Amino acid sequence: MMRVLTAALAIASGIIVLLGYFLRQVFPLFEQLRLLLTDWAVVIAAAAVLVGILNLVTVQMDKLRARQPGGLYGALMVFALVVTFGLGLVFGTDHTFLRAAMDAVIAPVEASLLAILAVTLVYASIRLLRRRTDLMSVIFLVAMLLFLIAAMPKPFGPLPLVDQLILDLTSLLSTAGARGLLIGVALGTLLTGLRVLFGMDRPYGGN
Amino acid sequence: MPLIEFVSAIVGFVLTLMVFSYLIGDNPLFRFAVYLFVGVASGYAAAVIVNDILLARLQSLPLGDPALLVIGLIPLLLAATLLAKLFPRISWLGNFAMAVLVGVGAATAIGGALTGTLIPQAEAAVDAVDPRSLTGLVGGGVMLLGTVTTLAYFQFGAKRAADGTVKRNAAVEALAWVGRVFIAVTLGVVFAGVYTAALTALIERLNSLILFLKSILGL
Amino acid sequence: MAEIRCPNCGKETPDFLDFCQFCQTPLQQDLIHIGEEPTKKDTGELEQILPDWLKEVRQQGLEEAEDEALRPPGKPKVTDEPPDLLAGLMSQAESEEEELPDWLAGISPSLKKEEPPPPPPPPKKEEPSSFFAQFREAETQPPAEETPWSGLVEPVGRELTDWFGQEEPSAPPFREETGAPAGEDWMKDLSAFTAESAPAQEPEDLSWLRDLEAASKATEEPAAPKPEAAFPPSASEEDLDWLTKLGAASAPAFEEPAPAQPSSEEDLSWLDKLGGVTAPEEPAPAQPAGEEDLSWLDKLGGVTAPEEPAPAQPSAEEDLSWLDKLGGVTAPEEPARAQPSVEEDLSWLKNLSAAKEPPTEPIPSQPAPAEEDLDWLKNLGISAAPPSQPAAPAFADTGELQPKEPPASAKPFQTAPLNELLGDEALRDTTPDWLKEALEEPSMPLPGATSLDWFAEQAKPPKETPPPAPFDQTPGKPAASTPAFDFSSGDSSAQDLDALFDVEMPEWLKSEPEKPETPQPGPVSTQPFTEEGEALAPVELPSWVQAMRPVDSAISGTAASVDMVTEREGPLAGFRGVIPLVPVGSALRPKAFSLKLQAGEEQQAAAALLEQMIASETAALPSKPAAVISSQRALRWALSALFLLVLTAVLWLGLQTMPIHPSSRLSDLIASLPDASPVLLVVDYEPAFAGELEASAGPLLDQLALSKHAIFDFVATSPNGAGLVERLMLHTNLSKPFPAGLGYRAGEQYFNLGFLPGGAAGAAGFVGDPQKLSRYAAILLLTDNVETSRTWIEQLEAAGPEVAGKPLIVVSSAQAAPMLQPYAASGQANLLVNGLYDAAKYEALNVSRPGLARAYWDALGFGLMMAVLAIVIGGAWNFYLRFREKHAETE
Repeated sequence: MMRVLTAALAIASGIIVLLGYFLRQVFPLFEQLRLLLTDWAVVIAAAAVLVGILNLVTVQMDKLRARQPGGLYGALMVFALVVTFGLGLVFGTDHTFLRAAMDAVIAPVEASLLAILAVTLVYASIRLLRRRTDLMSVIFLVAMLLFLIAAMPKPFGPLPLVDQLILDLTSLLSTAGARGLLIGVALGTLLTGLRVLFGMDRPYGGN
Repeated sequence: MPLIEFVSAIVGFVLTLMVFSYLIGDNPLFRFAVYLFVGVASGYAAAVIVNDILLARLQSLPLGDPALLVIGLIPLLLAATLLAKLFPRISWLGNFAMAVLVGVGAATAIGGALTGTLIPQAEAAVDAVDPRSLTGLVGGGVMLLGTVTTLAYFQFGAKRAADGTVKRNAAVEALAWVGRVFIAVTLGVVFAGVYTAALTALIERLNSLILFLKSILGL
Repeated sequence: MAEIRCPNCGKETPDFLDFCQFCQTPLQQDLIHIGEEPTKKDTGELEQILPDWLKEVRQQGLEEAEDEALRPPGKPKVTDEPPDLLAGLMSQAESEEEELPDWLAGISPSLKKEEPPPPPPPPKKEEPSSFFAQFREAETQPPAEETPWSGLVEPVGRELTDWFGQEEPSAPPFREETGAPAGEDWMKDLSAFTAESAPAQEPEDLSWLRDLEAASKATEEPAAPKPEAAFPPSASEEDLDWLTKLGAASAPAFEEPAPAQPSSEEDLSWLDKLGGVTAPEEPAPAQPAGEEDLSWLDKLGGVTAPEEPAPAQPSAEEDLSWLDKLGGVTAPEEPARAQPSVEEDLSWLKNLSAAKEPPTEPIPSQPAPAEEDLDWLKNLGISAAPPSQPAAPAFADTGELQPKEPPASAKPFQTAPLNELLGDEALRDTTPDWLKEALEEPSMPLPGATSLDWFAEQAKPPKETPPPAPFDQTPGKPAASTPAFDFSSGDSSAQDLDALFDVEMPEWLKSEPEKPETPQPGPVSTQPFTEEGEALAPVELPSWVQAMRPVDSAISGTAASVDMVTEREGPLAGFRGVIPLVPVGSALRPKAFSLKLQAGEEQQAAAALLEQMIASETAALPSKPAAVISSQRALRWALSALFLLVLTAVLWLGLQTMPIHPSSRLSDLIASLPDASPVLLVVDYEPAFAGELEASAGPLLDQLALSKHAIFDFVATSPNGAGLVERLMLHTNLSKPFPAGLGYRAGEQYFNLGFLPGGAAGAAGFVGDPQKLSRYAAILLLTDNVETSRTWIEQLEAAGPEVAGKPLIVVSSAQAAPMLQPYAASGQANLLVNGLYDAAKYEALNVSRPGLARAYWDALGFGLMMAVLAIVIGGAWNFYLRFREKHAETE
């Protein structure tokens, strides 16, 4: 019974939203319903993020309680979370404390993690031909190098014609490939969405 | 420099170095920085969600209009039921909210993909071919060829041959091979972009460290 | 609910389970057991790799199928025959004679190509494993049209494996001797088969049975039969030495009566060696009349019979005379009770063949054929069940076998086990109808079936056995249920089946039977030999087979001898129960059967190699001393140091030497926007890309603020968006106070609308109200993610033409720009700013404001150059290493 109800709810919600998309001119009610349901979905999605964070805390607390390896790091994480969340609740998200949290912790650490990648990617590129020497690997590597060489800042400025030719060529090929990929992704999205609307896929726990 | 900004700069400097220590190898400093980051970022997000979304919605409920109140309470109630997902015994309560979220999300994705990508990009692929000029013809042809062949690469329909092997149609196979070339070039360019972004992040971090050091040193 | 006995652990498991609930062993084996009908599969592609012998078998099967189709409908199918487990051995021998072992080469009837092959075997569909098909090939007689066994043989194949599962001893109703291919383990079954020594055409009929009974009554002690009578003189001299070479399962052929001739009690020492010898090293030469003796082979097996039976050929007395003496070796302790008539005794056999008639219904025997068929029984002596009435001239002549008192345990015709089996409900359930009838019928072993059971009695002290089960309907009830087959020795049945494909000489020939049994007297049926095989030409048997024939069988512990078919053709003709007849899947089956594979030298070498490899895995290898610092780690460190040092130096020095060529296309769109118009900025990036996006969006925002005095509305797709907005306004100098910045203030010149959760739904809800978006002069999407930016572009497009018509400027991280390029090419995005590359050009056009891109530009140039150099050099080196490795491998 519960499966039927949840499936019916999901299918009905989706159909209403679809009707709101394509019949908004004919039936404005569907458009209003679509916006209403979308608004609900925004709230529910926000709550879902919150549930995810609570689950993260639960897992880390269990890890600490079980004295598993890395439990102290989990405690540090929970402590930082609670402190930040408490400051945000008390002082609001626009307060200096929260802004300091962003400037001092979130942005530096996250950017540093990405910065490490600059070295790691070079290392991986060097090892690429050691692992795979097929034609596609070579094409991949050559396209990357050509694009970097053509686009990189040079002490003497861009090479006339050469850089632009390479950029145009790589842009043409990459745009064509990217368009095919985007269309493929859209097709996949369409198919996945239809499967949900037809009740064939029930990722909401209806199975 | 205000104290809070100075402290933030020092903390950011130290945490950056901690993360950079990973270049030597995995170490507790790196883990400390990462766990701290996850905790702060999660707390920050939770605070934003509670403050800016849930509490804001709750405060904006039209108490004078029962109909609008009910309509406004429904998403909050559904959101509350999601908390049941944390408890296995009553986790089924959250299925209704998830059903609404998934159903709306699927329909939204369908509408967006159809009207925002499939139709416009298909049209663009065809329109790129301009027979009036050589560049338009060649460039557009290559663009169309790349699009089609890339799609053909993801065509996995095949038939069983007489010898028992499963093979795609020869024409599709040839198109798929060409598509692989386009995909390889595309991914190569994307990889170059990823590397550029990473290098930019490294430069930004080093620049911030240098600026902090210069500010400390008075340079 | 029925239960299935697990073949692994032996525990009962409900039949609806696929796996044993105790040991998880699959209950439904994929193996095709003997008697099962395999699932049809298209294996035509494997046709080419079939061995010659198998191809021949297939061809014969096809031909026989054609013959089957052409056969009149009234005629029974000849396909009802025992499973042909060894089909093709002969053909293989023909094609690969040099590889044949001697023992196999000695199967002259099957290997000799003296005569054209017989008609092809019946379709395999009805004979999943036609055991004797191979022998039909070599036989000279045409296939029998109809035999009384035809109705029995088919179930034989089907219920074969259960035959092995019978643990309860039971006496076989009849026995048949088969000229089994040498070296087959299944010939262990022959230990239970007594020598069938009389050809079907023996005119003397069952008269010897009277003597047999008399002999059994004569003494309780085993008595050596007199060698004179029908035995040639030489046979008496050779004594029973040959028996020492036989083992429990071997039986000498008729052609070699001499070895089978026991002379005296002192000769019984060979009994100690029973089962310990495989084949006689020096098989006795075949007697001239051997071929005649083997005419009975036509009738055995019930497979084929000559359409036009040859006229009866009286078998030579001398060929079978040794059996008389065999009977004199050991007298049954208890002779069978007098049986009213031979016809009645043998009537059950007809029921067996008919498989439909009521078991108790007396079947009129066919006197003349029965007599002919069972003539040879006369020569069996005590080993065959001595009926009370028929006279046994041979024994009578000896005088030694005149029964004084019936031995208590003498049971040459043993029927009790069958009847006892009927009491087993489980067995009854699993027993096919035809077998039930066989069980209920008054049974008696075939002539000669228990011929040498007395050997067992000789080997061990006589013992009293209980009377037969109440199911016994034979006039002469067996004295005990002691089986002639004893399979109590573990899984001998399984071993028997395993050995079907064993090339080597079976080990059972070296083992002594554990429980030799004494045959019981029982009714003699004439049915099996009444209609067939009379004209069957004698078949030459290999010497070793001939030597084995009269040997008593005593595979202990068998219970599977419920039904046994007497083979009628080929070298196996005359042997009975070679193919056990037990329902497949019986609960009594102790173990699953596994078929041994014939492994060639190459396969054995491969197996040895595999074993070596496995063994080497367990051997401890000397650990390679790990380098303190691996080359890879050193490379990573070197790269890290190089990048950090160079970039730090460039940034510390503030180098701005690399030229930037401005691009006007970036600023033209901004210049076209109206003044003081609000602009929607979607913050769709993570803090990691804040540095890049701030530098990329800086000149654009600066132009908007400086030249257009635009009002910024920020909406974020990330919870960190609020903090990112403040960073963006600060680092682009927009929120800095004048003159360092433009003095933008939150809530006045820019607004942070907050976090917009929900992904596509959030974007759709935000842009769903066209009136809300209509006031914006442009929409700026600051993104580092292809998916989220695609979602925003799609939802803006789906929001309608009013929204889609708004200028969309995408400021993208360099990592997402290539994938967003199609949207720019299609016009869905009016402008795409690709990271620092475009930002630097934009700044150059904007008098290097705000300056972040310019500050990073040289560092980016040096960094990319180092990266390209490292990748090219390192890649070339690794490519060389890879090429060298491949070259080395090739060499």
